[in-house]
Parts: sequence; C-alpha cells; structure tokens
Amino acid sequence: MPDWRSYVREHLHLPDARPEREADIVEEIARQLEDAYEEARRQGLSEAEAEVSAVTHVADWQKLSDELRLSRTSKPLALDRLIEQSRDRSNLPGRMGQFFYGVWFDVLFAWRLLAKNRGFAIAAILTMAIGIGANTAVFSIIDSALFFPLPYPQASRIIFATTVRGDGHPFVSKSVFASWKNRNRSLASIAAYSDIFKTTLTGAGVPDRLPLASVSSGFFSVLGVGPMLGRAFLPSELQPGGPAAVILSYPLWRSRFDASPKAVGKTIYLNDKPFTVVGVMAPGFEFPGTVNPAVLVPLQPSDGPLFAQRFGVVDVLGRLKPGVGVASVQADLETILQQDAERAPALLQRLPKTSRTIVMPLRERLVGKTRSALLVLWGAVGFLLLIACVNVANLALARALAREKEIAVRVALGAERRRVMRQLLTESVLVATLGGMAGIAIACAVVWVVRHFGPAELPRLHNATIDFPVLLFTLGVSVLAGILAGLAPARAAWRLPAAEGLKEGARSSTGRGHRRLRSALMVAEIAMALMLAIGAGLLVGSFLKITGLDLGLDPHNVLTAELALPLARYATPAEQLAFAQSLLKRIRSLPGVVATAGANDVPMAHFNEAMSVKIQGMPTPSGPRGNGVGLEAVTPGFFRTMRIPFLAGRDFNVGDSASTAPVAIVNQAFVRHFLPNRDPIGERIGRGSRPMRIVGVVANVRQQGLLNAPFPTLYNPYAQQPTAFVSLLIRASGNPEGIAPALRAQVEQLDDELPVFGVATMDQRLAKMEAERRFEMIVLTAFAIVALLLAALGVYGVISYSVSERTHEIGIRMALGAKKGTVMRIVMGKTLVLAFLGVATGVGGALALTRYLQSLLFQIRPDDPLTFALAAALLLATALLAGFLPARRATAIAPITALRYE
Amino acid sequence: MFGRDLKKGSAELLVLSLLEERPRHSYEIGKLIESRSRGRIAFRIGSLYPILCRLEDRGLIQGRWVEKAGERRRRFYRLTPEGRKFLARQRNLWEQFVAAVNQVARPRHA
Repeated sequence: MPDWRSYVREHLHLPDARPEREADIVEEIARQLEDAYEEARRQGLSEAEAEVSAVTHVADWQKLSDELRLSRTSKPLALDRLIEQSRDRSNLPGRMGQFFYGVWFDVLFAWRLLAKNRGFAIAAILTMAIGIGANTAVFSIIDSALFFPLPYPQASRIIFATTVRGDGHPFVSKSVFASWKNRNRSLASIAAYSDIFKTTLTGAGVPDRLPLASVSSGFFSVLGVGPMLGRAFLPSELQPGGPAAVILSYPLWRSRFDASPKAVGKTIYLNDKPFTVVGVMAPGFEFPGTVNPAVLVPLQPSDGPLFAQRFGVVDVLGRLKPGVGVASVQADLETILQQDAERAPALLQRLPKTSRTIVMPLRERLVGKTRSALLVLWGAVGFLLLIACVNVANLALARALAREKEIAVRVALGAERRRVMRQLLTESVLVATLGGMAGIAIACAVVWVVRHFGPAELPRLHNATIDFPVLLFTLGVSVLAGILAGLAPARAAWRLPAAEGLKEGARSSTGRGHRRLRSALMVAEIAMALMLAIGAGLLVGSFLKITGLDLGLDPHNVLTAELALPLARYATPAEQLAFAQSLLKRIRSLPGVVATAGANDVPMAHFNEAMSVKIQGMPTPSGPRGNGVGLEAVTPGFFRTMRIPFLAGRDFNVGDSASTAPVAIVNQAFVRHFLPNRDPIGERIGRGSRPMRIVGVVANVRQQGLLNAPFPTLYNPYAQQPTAFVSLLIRASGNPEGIAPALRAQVEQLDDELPVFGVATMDQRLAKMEAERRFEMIVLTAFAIVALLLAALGVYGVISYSVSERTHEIGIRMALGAKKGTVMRIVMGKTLVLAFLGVATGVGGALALTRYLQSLLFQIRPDDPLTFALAAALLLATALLAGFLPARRATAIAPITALRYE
Repeated sequence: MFGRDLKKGSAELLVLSLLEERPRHSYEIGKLIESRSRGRIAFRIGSLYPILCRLEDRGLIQGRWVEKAGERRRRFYRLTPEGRKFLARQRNLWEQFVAAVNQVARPRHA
C-alpha cells in the first residue's frame, strides 16, 4: 500500500498553518485516501488501479490548499450568502413584473458571467461580430440596391415590356410599339423610350457630351411625374418634323442656367441642331434606367438624321389598368405582335419562332441583373453567420459542461428546466447582441470601403448606408443568431439528468452527448466553409478564365479618346475625313507616340453599327445570326496600332479612298461564318452597285465585350466610309496617360468647340468591364477566407477541448506505455474522420447549391472537379492543421499531471 | 457566484443533516451522501474536506480523533449545540428559499 501520508505532505502546501494543525490535516486526508484505496481494492481493482482511483479524489491540490487556508480566514458559509441573496429578492412585484424582473435578472446574471469569463466572452462576441457585421453590410447593400423606393407614385403598377429574339436580343421596333399602343387592352397608359446615348451640347457654356434619352408621348403619365418647371412635350413636338423641344435635368439646369426660371424658352444646341427648352425635371427625378440623362427629347416615329437609334429598338413602359396582372399584359402584347406578324410577312421573317414577349415589373427590370449577384452574396454571408453561430455554440457547449453542476443543483433545487433554458438562451442572445453592436462597426467599415472602392457599374451601391431598417435587420439577426447558438447548450441542459451534474468528476453520458453534438457542429462547420470556398473558387476560376482570354489585340500602352463631329460644321464625308486625317497627322508627331489610328468605335466597346451582307455567289448562311455583321470603319494603321494580327492579305493604305474601288478586311469569325473552307481574299461582298472586295483577314477581336464570342466583323477604310464619330487610338512608348494633355491641345488647335471625351487607357477600359465581376469575386473570396478562419478556429476548439477532456485517459495510456505516435494518431484520427465527414457533406451541399452561381460563372462548370478538389484539399489541410496543435499538446502531457487532472 | 454558493450551500446543509443523527468520520459522510442520494450526488475528498473544515471553524461541528484497536485513528465529527440551532434555522430558511425559487421559476400562463 502506498504511503499516503507522505503523498499528501508532498502535495499539500499550508505554509501559514501551525505545525500541529497541518499534521492533523495531512493525517486526515491521508486516512481518507487510504479508505478510498482500500474500498477500491475490495471492489477487485488491482493495486495500481486502486491507487489511480484514490488519487483522483483530489483533482487540484493547489485549490484544496487554498480552500483550507481560506477557511481559516473565516470565509462566510455559502448558505449564509445564499439566504441573504434570497432575502434581497423577497419583495417581488406582480406577475408581469416578475416575468420582466426575471428576464432582467437573467440579463444581469448573463452579464456577470460574461464579465467573469473574459476569454469566452471576447472570443464569442468577436465571432458573432464578424458574422453579423458581414450580414449587416451585405444587407445594407441589398437594401439600397434592391429595395430602394422607386420615385414614382404607385410604382408597383408600372411594367416594363420587351420582345426578345432567341439570342436574347431586344426586338421592339417603333412600329411594334405603335401597334401595342393602339391595340392593347390591359394598360392604362403606355410609353416608349430609346437607349440613352451621348449628344454634344453647345450654346450653353463649354461644349460637352451629355447623355440623352428620347421619350414618347405618355412617358410622363406612365411614370406619374412631370417637369417641375415648364411643361411636358406637346403632341405637335412628338410628330415628325415638329418643333424641336428639350426638357432639361435638374443638375443641368442648375449648372448651365443657374437654376433660373427664365431657362424655359431658351435655345440650346444638341449636335449643332437648335432645341427650345420647354421644361425642367425635379431634382429627385430618376429615369427608369441605370443612367440619368441630362436632356430628354421627343421620340419621333421616324428618326431624324441626328438621333439615329441603334437598330431602331425602343424600351416600353406601361401602367397597369386596375385589376390587371403582369401575366395578362404579357398575353395581350404577345397576341398583338403575332397578329402584326401575320399581316406583315417582312416582320414575320425577322421574328424567329423562338421570340417571346417579356413583361415584368419595372423594379425587376432595374434590379434584375444585380439581384442574382447580390443574392449569392447574401447566401454567402448567411453561411458565414451560421458558421459563427456554430463556433459560439461550441464555445458555449464547452462551458456548459463546466457548468453542468451549477445547472444540476438549480434543477435539483426545483428550478424549472424551462427557466434554466431561458437563462442559457439569454446568455447566448446577450453575446449575439453585443456581437451585433461590434458587427455594426465592422459593417460601417465594409460599407465605407464598398462605397469608395466598389465598381461604379453596380447601381446604387454607393447609396448604401447603415440606416434604421438596416439596424433593425441587425437586431433581428442578432437575436436569431443568439437563439441559434444557444439552442445546442440549452438542449444539452434540458437533457441533463436530475442530479447527474452533482457528481464530481463523473464521466457522464451527457458528456458523451455533448461530444457528439460538438462533433456534429464541427462537421457542419467544415461543410459550410467548404461550400463557401467552392463558391469563391468558382468565381476566381471564372475571373482567371476571363483575364486569360485572348482579346485579339494588345491593350497595353494604348490611349483612347472619342470625338463626335457636329454635322453642322462637318456635314460632308470629305470634311469629316479631312478633319480626322489632319488630327491623326498632328498626333503622330507628338513625342512618345508609337502609332495612332482612328476608328468609328473603340475596340471591344460594342458595335455602333451593324449591317446585313451577302457574299456574291454564296448562299446566305443559316443560323440565328443570319447574315448580320458588325461594321467598323478604320484608318490605315489601325491593326498595327492595336496589334491585331493579320492572317492573310494586306492592310488598308492611303490608296484606298473614296474614288477607288471599295475594299474590306474581315475577321476570322466572318470567314468561318460566310466563307468556310474558301480563300476569302478577293471575294466580293454585295452592297448595292459597288461591291466590296476582301483584301485582308485579321484575327478576332472581342468587340461585343469580354464575355461574348467574337462576332463576324467587316472593316472598311475610314476614307471610304467616313462617319461623324471618331475614336482615336494612340499607342505610346511609355505610360499612355501622359499623352492626354497634348492630345486635348491638338484637338483644341483644330476646333476649340469640339469636346474630347472618353479619354482613358485601353487597360482602364478593360478593368472597368471586369469591375463588377472582380468585385463579386473579391467579396466572395473575402467571405470564404473569413469562413475558413472561423472553421479552423471551430475545429481547433473542438479538438482542443476533446484533448483536454481526455487528458486523464491519455495520461493513463501514456503511463501504461503508449507512444507519442499512438496518442498523436488517436487525436488526429478523430480530426481526420470529422474533417472527411465535413468535406463529404460540403461537397454534397455545394453540388446542390453552386448551380445558383451559374449566371456569375464564365467557362467553368458549377461542378468543376478541379475547383471542388482544391477547395476540399484546402479545407482538409486547414482542419488537420487546426487539429494538429492540440494533438501535439496531447503528446506532451506528462502522465503524472494527467492523473491529477480532472 | 450564485451557482457555486448553491452547490456549496446544499453540501453544507447535507453535512450538517448527516451529523445530526450521530458523529461520523469524513469518508463515511461522503459515502453516505452518495448512497442516500442513490448515487446521484457524489463528493470527492478534495471537495468535501474543505467544507468540513469551514463548518468546524465556524464552530458548528467539532472534530475529535478516535482510535480503535488494530486500526489507524480517524477523526469523527459531531454537531455542536450551536450547529444544531443553526441547522434548524437554516433548514427552515432553505425551505423558504427553495419555495421562493419555485414560485419565481414555475411556468406561468399569463
């Protein structure tokens, strides 16, 4: 039998006690340990086992020493204090009062607990702050981008209508609109408006390029708003050849007319044509599109030469008749379109079978594109919050084990379990609410960053603020998150058997229940983090695909600028050509300029012009595109300047002029579409009496934007097809931005009334095209990284706790000769099993969810195996790393410490 | 803290009640609590012993070494007259306290 007396003497420290008192204490404790040892032996345990069993009776010698010392300093009995506390609360108010008093007491109690457990409190509150902060920020963005009030009376009654062809191209011509207007039975009013395009304003200060929209009659009555000054357009002004009238936007009126009421009646010049100002819109007026035009002009049934609308397409707005729904409008308009098509075979030919009329509420039209991206973000932060909740729940569960005794005593004393659960939930909600407060600070920072660095293309992003509805949302989310995180501990308390917790050091079945629950939470956490990582990975993959696209040209070191020659001064093609040629000559002589050229469009900025072509002696190709091609007029040197490779033939030269035979250069897509398996050089493209001869073939350029496949394109010599729109392309030897001032000076020397706009490097233009996607990718990746960190913390917490729980067991194993490697294997094995379960669940979840990302992806499948594999590997590595630290700690456990540990 | 007081308070009450019948030594007290609560309440030596010391310091119980033939001596505790009065008063208060807690905590259907 061990010498218990020296064992106790070795461990107990009572430096202040009198020697005889200390001897008494040592003897008495030793006697009890001896009793325990003998009892264990009687029960059939071996000597070693009985010794372990006796030793575990004193978990913490330091604590025991302290308590014994304290008992000398007349520490009050717990009973006395308890009764005193109950007396303090003996004057309880009425029933409701009691309830609120109870809740208030719960909150105070929870607060005191948190203040006492600083480590837990800070970890839990910070975790919640991250989850709630991210949700608040995204909600404030969504609130401003999706749920903003439309500034029209009864805005929900306003619909947007269009007809699209199979390829998604809008198809409402003015004649279709006229039929709808005359024959519909479902709309109280209907109006059309054109695409916004830029016009040159003169006659009111410095010349400038401004966005212009043309609107039909009924436009103001559909929206329910009119000019605040002056009047709307008169019927005569909406007739072809009627008086030219214009309505100004409020900002333009302020800046150009000093907000003077006398502005009405004045004349301004748009593209050098005089217009009479008839009205001014109110400051809060918003055009039903993403851009607010500076001037509104009447949309006339046939276009004058000044406002050639692209493809003659208009957008249509309507206000529903009372009791009519969107679906019946759709049927109504579709029927009219079909009737027209039967009457006019020409229309039918242009109206493929796949076309359909789409009617949607105006709000949906305005937010439609942004919505899917924002909802994805919202889903992502939802996961983030869930992960945060799981982490807090795990922390709380770990604490709940430690508090089992407190709870058990309360239950044993007659406290209702419901009451105990309320206490636990109160604690959790308090943590979440404090986290929510900290989260608001995080959200403010995120919103600030988004407002300042977010892409300009995301409409209304820059209006995002943390306002009252957002705060209300935060409060709601906080309470919800608190309840969610508190459910697991509360459930554990519910299941706690009556007096189980009173057993000291008992390895109870609830402990096992807790462990299972915590393991399940860890699996869920890994699964959610993996889903986020996969989502972010898919977006990154898409982005890499986009940046890796072969553009067909070299965008670096190129400056672009745009000019619109006023037809009043540059009426003839010869005048336009002369201006362009002399300007290009001046630019070419500027220092730092390597090459320069002109074109009617900036490359990759969509076509301004398109036409149908027919190759002489060839059948018209079938397919949805038919014989349409994009049209581009370029000066000699254009392909060299943009570094678009020649595949065959020659460039245009000064010999290709208005007086020589028309020539054309086509791109690869053109050849593939119209002249497959033929040598295109020398083929003739029919165009009236003067067919164009193909003299060269160049590589494809993504003229229709980054994401659209190259379109068949026909390049003309600018000298043979001069236009009033001149885009300048200047390749510099160094930073192209340095050339901009000299460029402006050269234009001013030639024509000081001509505004230069769109001055930007080609790289800047490309970055802008990618901005929205880049933004989505960065945000989702940031969320995924945070989620990964939270998940790593969660895994670390669970494994670390399970190691500390098993310290005793591990110590015994090691005392019995287990190797460090074995212990490591046991701990890491648990991590590995849980991590694999989490990854498997996450992969399943991602397979189900990533298809909602489809619209944001580019050339990557929602179930891209590489992305899935990489994300899964990342998660596994993270989980194993997080589990490795506690595992290593476990191997460092000294058996003797472990045996004393409880 | 409230919870710890409750636990300790209940332990103090248990010890005093057990000593009301007759003097006992400390290991016996621990075993009795365990057996009478049918195993639902168990104290380890490290937890129970300081409670005994504290009660003795307050003069509510008194310990005395008792030797039996063929055995090492044990320390037996008995209730002092002061302890007996304290127990009666505290038992009464404890019941009131539990009743009060019940009254607050009982579910209400207001």
